[in-house]
Amino acid sequence: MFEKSLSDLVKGIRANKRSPSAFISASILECKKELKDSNEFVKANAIRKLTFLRMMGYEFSWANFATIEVMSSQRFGHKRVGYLSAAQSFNEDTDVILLTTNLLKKEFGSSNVYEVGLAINCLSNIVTQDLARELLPDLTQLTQHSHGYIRKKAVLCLFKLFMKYPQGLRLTFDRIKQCLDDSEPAVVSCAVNVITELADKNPKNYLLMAPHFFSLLTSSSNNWMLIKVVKLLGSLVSEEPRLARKLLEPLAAIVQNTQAKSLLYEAVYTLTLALPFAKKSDGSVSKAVPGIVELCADKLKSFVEEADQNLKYLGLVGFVSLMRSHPKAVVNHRNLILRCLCDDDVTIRSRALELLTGMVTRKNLQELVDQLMQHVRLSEGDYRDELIQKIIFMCSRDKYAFLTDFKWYISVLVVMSRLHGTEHGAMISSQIMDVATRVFPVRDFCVGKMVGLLLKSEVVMGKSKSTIWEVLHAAAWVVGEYANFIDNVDLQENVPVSLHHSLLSVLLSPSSLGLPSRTQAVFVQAAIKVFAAACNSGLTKPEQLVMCLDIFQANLPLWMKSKDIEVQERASSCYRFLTSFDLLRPLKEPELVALELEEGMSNKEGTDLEPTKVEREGNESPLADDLLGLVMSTTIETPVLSVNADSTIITSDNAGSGDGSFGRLLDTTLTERCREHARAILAVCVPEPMKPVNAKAQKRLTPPSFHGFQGSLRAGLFHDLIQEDSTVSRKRKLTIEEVSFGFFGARATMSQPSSTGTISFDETGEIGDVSTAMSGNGKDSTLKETPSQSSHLQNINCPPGDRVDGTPFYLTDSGVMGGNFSDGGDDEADADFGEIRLGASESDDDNSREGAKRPERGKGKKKKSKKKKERKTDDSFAMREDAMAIFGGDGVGVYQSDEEANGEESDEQRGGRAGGAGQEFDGLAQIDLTTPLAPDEVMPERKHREVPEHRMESPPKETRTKKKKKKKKGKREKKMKKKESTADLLDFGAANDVDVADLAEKVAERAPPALNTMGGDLLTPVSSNLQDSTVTSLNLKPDEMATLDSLASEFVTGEWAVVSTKVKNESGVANPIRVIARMLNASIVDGSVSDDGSYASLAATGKGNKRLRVLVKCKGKVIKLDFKSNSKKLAKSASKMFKELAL
Amino acid sequence: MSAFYANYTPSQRARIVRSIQMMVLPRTANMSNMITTETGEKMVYRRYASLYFIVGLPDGANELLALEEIHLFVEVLDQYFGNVCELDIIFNFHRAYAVLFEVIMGGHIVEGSKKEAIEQITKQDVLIEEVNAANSGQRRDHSNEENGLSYTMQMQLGRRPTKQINHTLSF
Repeated sequence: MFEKSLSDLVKGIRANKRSPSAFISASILECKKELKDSNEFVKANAIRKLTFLRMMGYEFSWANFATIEVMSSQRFGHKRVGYLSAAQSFNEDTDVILLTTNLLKKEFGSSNVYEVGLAINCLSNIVTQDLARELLPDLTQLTQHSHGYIRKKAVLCLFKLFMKYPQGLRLTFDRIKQCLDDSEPAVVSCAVNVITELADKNPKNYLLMAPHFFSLLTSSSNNWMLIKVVKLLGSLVSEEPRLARKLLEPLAAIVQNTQAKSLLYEAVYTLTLALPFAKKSDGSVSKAVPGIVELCADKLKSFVEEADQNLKYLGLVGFVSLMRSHPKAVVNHRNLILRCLCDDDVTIRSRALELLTGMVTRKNLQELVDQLMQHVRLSEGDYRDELIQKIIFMCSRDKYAFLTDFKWYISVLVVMSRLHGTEHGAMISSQIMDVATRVFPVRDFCVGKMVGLLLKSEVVMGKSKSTIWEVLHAAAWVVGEYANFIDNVDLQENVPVSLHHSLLSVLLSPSSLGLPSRTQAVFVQAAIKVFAAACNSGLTKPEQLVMCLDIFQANLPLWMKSKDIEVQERASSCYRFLTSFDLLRPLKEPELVALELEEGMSNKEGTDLEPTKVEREGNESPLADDLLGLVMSTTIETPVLSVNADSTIITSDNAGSGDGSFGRLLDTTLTERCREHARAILAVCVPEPMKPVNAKAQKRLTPPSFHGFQGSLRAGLFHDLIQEDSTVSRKRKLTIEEVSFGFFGARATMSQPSSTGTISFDETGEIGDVSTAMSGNGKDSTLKETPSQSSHLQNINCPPGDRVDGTPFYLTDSGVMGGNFSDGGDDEADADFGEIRLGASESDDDNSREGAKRPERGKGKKKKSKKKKERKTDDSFAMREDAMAIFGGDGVGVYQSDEEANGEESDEQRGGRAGGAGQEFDGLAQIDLTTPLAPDEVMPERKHREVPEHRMESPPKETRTKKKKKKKKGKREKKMKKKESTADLLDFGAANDVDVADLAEKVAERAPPALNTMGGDLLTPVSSNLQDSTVTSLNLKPDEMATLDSLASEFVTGEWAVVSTKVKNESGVANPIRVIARMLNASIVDGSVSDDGSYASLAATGKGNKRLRVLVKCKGKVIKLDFKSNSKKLAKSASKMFKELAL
Repeated sequence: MSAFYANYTPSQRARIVRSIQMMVLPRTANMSNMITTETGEKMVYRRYASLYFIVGLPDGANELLALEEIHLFVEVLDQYFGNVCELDIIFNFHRAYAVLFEVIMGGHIVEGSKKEAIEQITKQDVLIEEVNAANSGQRRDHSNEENGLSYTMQMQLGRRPTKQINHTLSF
């Protein structure tokens, strides 16, 4: 038989470049056949080929067993193939890994150093917890091997073992320490490597060794190792500040002398880490520090100036680190760093950007951002997004702490919003809104900018992928909310009629309907606010007002037909609102009907429901008529208007929004009415000054009961409102109720109940319930406001100056605001903002503090919580030690009850730390080397310790998981655990003769099921157990399984007997693995279900240190069982049992 | 060719390798050799002709050291194969691995001196030769034959860079 060599395979693949898969699958089939060949050479070759194919991304878990066979070959060449394959393909889930334990053990004893080397290397790749536990003693032996080649590998491999089996660290650390004094430099270097890695996880353990490393640092010349030593010392610094001071000088010496860039970099970097700790306890700084800082900065600078991109990059990274302790030293190199922004490499640019972000001060912010803005213009893609994000972050961080000129900031934001394709629309928009609400002096400026933005929105819109509409959203809101500043706006260009007019035409233009609905909704709202402002403004001429109204008249119906329900709602409520003031003519009947039809059920339902609701609500059913009649009556009462409207319809139907010349001529009264109602409209639309509300602050409020939008309306709800209202205005109580209710009733069926208060809440997302609630009141009363009532509006709608008083949210205090508000000047802005910032941050602190303490209000409780905290820290400190004792004292198993009680806290502790280090190292970080070894902490011995060892493992684990889950559950369990632990102690060592099985059974009886499975390893002898289980626990009848072909092969490796059997699962037991496990009373070590069947490995322990490992593979109805045992008899009898079952 | 020093499932490995390829290949020579991914992993690579050598690093590792390690590995490879090229590694991947394991084990450098490493590897090779020699005579010795590259193979040189990924993520 001729088989392909590896090079044939590779050539073949390369020859079939186009479609290698056919060739490969053919090769795989061949390999499969070859693996069955008895010739070792053929087998090894096949494995090698498979390893190659695996590199190409194919997966061959079926070859794992064959891999082990090749590994156990006698020839070194084959071994190497096998070990390579294993190192590449095995992982923690690999089932056959159990079989390697003995193989490796044997290999460690080999006389050929390279075989040992292979085995160690392989182990470092495939190590699992089991392997680590079993092989730790052997490997520790190897660190004393006569060959340095072995020693270095063994030391390094130990680290891998520790990762899987942290308890081992305490046991073997002395060996590693000895390795530091090894004659072979490679071994020392490896040991340093290991300790460096360990110290990275838990530096505290290695503090005592610091002097040793210190001498290494000053004496050694091996750069590989020096780097590690430097790194190691660097990680120790955080635990021992005194070390930092000592380190500075030798490190500086290295920095000055070394030629190796990597060492230089490491030293500088460590220096930057050490510098923050270099302060003496009295706060003074040693003389050397400034010099060293300078040295670092110099070296880093030279790095950054290098042509080599790598050094440049690392220089920047170093600067970032240096900045943490000595920002000033970095700021000097600002220009250098700015130059890096022009670099080709994005990684360098973003690193430089990060640096710049940290360098911001009040003085240089503006300059920096201006420079960044230039880059923004030039850049594109992700990097530009990053730039924009950073700019916004720089300006807004710490509540605008570094920002002195808000006008400038607004301009920057506007420029940014004009960029095409940015993704930061939302961010920019929220910034604009935030600044506009917080900073009074720049409002008019902001409004001006926004007006400009809106009027030119066509330019900006229409570009795909842009999020500019988000900005328009903010712009519209700002313009609407602060519409009273529009008068002050001085645009360079001329506008056809008036600014208000052109704004309205943009806001309500049909083309705006192309915007996302969220923005549309804001547009409608802003439109009416702008209109109100126009009415209020003394500068607006009557014709202009009428023209504004014409826009409403012409365009609103279009908006009322929007497909978005909220836009529709706002538009129509706006329309009706204006209609109710006789400012717009109502839609003609047919129009209305058409509209309602299109709107579908929602609106109709609304009208239908009204009366019923009213009845439910109030005892005033006649109200309903009034309600419905409201709109009607206005039209009737104002015949002039309706006539006027009718006549305009003719013109506007033809000429669109047209020139409202007709209306203008006809109606000077219209404009008068506008002015009359202006206050009312304003009051409704701008009911309250918007306050930026902290998210926490909002949560802190209990939502007012009458804001249950989702729930059905309560009768008392309106009653409350009415009561409150009546205290404000005593007039026409009844109508107030009627009208307000009418409005609400109609809206109630819409997707969201409409009220101006809520709407503005939606817009900003920051406005708390408070303002809504208050504005709700205001609006209720104002909605039906008639001219005569407008007087009381002033109560509700206070002049802005008063509103601000006592609100901690604004960036200006009221005094400053008052001054600036009127004249808009901000010449003193600098000075003002100094205080402003102070105030703002204080209030913010308050906020957050309050937020944090929210759950425990009241002084007594606060105190209590403080106490609690203190105690907690104490406890957790103590707990940490406890936890370590538990962890480190592998198998000690004696628990003090108070430790138990506090157990959960130590769990928390562990969890907390695990967060940083990643779970893998969790255990490793727990190990505390500083405490002396307890007498019962013994290196696991090879023989006669299997049973206790398993048990040593289990108690801490069990208790740990228990603690998590059943914190309070019973002392009974604790007692039991204790019992178990004592059992461990008794069994420990050579006490094999004790009847473990009995004890275990006892324990198992009393333990809850969970415990039972966990302790499953400790079991009764197989034979008796078999009867037991078949009779009692299993309903497995012999005929449930019958074999067609039962094939048993048997061979012995080392002192382990391996027997394999095949049985057939005729009756199709659903979960054969479970059944088998129960029959053997074995625990399932691991298992998995894949497409081609399931497998599991089971472990059982019998009397007299007999262990049985079973590998079960199920494919279809065939079950393959591989028994492996240290007692041939046991393996045989087990397989026999299954064979019999089968027969 | 890749080596992982942390426990990953095959699919995870494949994903990692793919994403690394995506990140590294588009980069040009004048960019720095270090990449930081969004997830905070560091990647250091070095290109030798058509061969890429890539190392994944945990946070806080020294990038320059990683570069040095790569260089050390390449030097050893070079010396071992005698002017190493892509095809050497493809056809003798097992040897390349042997070299790798000799220099770096479990994500750490084992042997800092080239000479020592080469010596160890050649000694191992002698062992293999012995095994092969002991084998039935007619069987061809693959390990030798592959070193003489045919003309066509030489032509293929540099066609597509092989990625040599030596992954030390998260020790």
